[in-house]
Amino acid sequence: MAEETPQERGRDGKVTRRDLVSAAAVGFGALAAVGPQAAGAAVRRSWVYKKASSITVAAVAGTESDPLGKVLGEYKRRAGVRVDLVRAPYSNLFQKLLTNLTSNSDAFDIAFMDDPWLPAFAGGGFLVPLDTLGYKGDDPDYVKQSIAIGKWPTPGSPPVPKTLSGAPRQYAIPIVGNAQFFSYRKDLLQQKGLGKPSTWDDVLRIAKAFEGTGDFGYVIRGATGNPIVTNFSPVLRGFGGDYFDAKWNTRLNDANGLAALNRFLALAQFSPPGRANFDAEELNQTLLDGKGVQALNWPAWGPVLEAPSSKVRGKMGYVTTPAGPAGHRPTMGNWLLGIPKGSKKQADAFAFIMWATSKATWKELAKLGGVPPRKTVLLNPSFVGTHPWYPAIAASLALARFRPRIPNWSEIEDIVGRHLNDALTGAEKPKPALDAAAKEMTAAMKRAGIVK
Amino acid sequence: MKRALFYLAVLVGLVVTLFPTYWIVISAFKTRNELFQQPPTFFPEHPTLDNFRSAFGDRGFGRFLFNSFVVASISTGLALLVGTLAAYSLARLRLPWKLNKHLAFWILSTRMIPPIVAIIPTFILFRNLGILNSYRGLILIYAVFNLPFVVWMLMGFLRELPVEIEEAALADGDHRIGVLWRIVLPLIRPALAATAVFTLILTWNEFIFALTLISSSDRITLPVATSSLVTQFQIIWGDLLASAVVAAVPILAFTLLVQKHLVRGLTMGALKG
Amino acid sequence: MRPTVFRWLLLAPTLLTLLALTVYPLFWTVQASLSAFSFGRRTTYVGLDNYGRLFHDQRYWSDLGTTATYTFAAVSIELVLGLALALLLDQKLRGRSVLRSALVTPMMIAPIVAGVTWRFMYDPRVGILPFLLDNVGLGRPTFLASRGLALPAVIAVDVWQWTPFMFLILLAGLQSRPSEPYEAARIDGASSFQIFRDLTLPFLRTAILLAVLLRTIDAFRIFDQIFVLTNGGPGTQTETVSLLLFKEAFAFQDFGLAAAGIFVLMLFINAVGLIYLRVLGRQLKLA
Repeated sequence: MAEETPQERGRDGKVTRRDLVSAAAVGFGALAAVGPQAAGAAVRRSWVYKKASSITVAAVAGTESDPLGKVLGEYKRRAGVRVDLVRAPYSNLFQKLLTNLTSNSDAFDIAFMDDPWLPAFAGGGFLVPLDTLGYKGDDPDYVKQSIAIGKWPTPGSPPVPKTLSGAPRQYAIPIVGNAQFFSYRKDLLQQKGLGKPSTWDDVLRIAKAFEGTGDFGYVIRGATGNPIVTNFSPVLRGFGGDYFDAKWNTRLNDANGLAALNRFLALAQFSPPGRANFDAEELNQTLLDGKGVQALNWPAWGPVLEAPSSKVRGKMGYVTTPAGPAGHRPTMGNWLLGIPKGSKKQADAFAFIMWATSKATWKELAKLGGVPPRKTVLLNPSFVGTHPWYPAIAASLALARFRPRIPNWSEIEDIVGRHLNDALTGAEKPKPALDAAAKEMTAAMKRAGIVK
Repeated sequence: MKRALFYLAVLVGLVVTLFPTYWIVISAFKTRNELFQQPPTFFPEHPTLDNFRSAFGDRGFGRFLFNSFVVASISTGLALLVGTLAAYSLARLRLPWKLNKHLAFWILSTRMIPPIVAIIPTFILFRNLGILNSYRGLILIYAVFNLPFVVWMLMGFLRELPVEIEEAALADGDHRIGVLWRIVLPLIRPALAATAVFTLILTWNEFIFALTLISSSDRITLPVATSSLVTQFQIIWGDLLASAVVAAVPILAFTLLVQKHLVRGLTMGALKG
Repeated sequence: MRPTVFRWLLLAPTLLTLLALTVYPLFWTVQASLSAFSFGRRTTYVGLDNYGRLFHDQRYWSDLGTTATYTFAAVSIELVLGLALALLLDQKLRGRSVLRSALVTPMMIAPIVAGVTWRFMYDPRVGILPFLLDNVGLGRPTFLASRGLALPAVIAVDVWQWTPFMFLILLAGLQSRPSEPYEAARIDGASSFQIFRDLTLPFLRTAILLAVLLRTIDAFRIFDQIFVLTNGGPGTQTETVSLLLFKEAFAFQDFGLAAAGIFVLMLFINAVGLIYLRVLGRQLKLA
């Protein structure tokens, strides 16, 4: 018979084993509750109706949803409904929404969506058309582009086969009126006697003037995928190019596209090393450190750049995106509130959306750092002092272009992003990169059934 | 000479392992401005608790820490208990048709399933069972996905034990369960300890299932909450680092508690007696 | 109780729960791989079309190669480092309990946090690593943005985070060794190296196999860190299969192709696992 030394029977050993047993007991007990409760829950959900005491919003984590998060208490007081804002990082939010929407789940009552997702979600028939819940018509206070982007089919955009067609209906209301603008260090420019940048030629000239000074004349987001494509789009369109034509044929690699890419690459040389992996965080940190002179930017960074602790507070100038030969072409990037078809609280969800996007609430949201798609707020003189970037947004929104309104934009963005990144790192020359991208884009569009 | 080289290599290994952890910890006490200061500071010049206050006060990360704690500890306990039994059976008790080998491999192969595959079907399955958005749902899925790991770890170490000890005990009239509990388990304490630590860590830091299966803010776990600090436009460094540091504390505590079991037992020598 | 029933009873909870929760996902995946999807919903069966597309998908095979390189490189380095650390902490050193716990800390940091922190540490302008390298005259490499350095840089993060895994398993293995053979060997006058080669390594076979097998399976499925570090860039230099499959499933909504890719990946990992068990696991009698 084996001798057991005191160690085995000792206090140390006992703690581990006892822990296991008690944890298991709790666990088994918990598991045992699954069966009966699951059945009960299934029955209950199907036939009992009660007025909603809470609604759930699936939202993106970040400054886009922060202002909304801060006014939820106010809504609870007014309407007695608790709004649960469940946040997730960008790519995971899309995954979550896709999973929930396609399985008609009732987990979320409101989807806080990025506008490129609307073609898939609304076009695929997963969202409730707001006119069925009482949506009356467009409030003229909205910048036209912003409210249009929440409609499907999108007015002003070519029709997309295999998606819901017919007269445009409103599926979502904008809650973040994002449009790209341009930020620059007006103090540094003044020192060199340079005027503010209005065209891409100006930007290049100014960037060259800072060569060798230790500051970076133009900072880009160069990481593969969304970052580099977002940075490239205003240049592409400013030079008269675009991803597709009016029939969804690929035209990225035409003469204008090549001219745009060459300009983009020329400007990229003035960015910090490591630019081929830069995203907004790195771009803006360069600005915050006082080392960046010019950059395309999004409104989310306005409050951070002008925060009391910011080194560059009061030193930044804001204008709309510089113009190419074809004009100013900022990209629009609104966030929208829509209602999944699976939601069991659609009326309550609609009520919240209307309240959250009303003029009155926007006055509050603007103070909290929100980006209003409403003209009255953007052009309100009382805001310009505290929000010097508002006029730039207003100008941008008026000129802004949508990203292509197709359900498979993510795939196109991935294709273009890869080849642009390759051109940036020198792995591909500009023309072959665009040609390769165009070939893959056409294949993707064919697979999606959008072109033959 | 060889000894000196060995120690040098180990020293390098130690520095490489510990420096980033050190960096993360001190950075949690820095302000954002100091974090990006050039040249970097190796010790916070103006240490601050603001990040911790922000994460656990304003953002309510305490709640998420609690959720993680409940889910991770229960699922780890479950996996250990159930897995130990299975490991013993596979390691010691002969099944017909060489099933020991085949079942063991099948169990391992379930671990090869990339989580992406399992998310949507699991979502659908749990929805039908009504355990979506619940502690028990997460506990269940974590326990199950850690079972292969527990089974294989313990099976491996159990195999190394000489059968004579158990056979002697059984001959003396002891039950299998008693033998397992009083004789076998203490002998594989180091393996049990290591397995417990790993399982806890894996469930504690698990992200994709927690994200998919939980849809209300008061039930999300810490990794999901922490990942929300990596936003599209900036990384909220202060809160992120603070929450990462605090998240590591319970695990560190558990490891410290359990690591004395990683020590060689004196039993080995006593066996031959 | 009859012996046979007893052994099945011990196995039952494990087998049943695993079966219950993995059968449906596997069935779903296979079904998806044989179907076409529209807007995330299954439409019709398309036979082996997706597999055909997969076969010609250069990106998938290139990524599989990248993943394999990543896995084998990372696991090998982790094994060597882990072994060295385990051997060190096997001895009775002062403060070794603290050291043991400290060495496990990288694993405790959530992969996403590890990812963003290393990304920051690698930044050529503000990161600590280029700063240190610059100070010793090696300049400021653009790790994650450089096509040549990105994959090694990403592997380094894995090595940092998962060496403790190898270390703990190997330490447990070392701590489970019987002591008499060592006493006998020392009496016989064997050298440290001989003892290591002829006694320690054989005793560690099981631990090494376990550690390598389990870590390899996990490394093949790596996702979180890389997503945050480079998102597969520059280009697709650091794109692993999991990353691609995630994009295909959730960004491109091409579930059919993603499912086919997942199925093939699983077959591949199974094959690797079997090879390891056959070649390295001959000592592990599983009959």
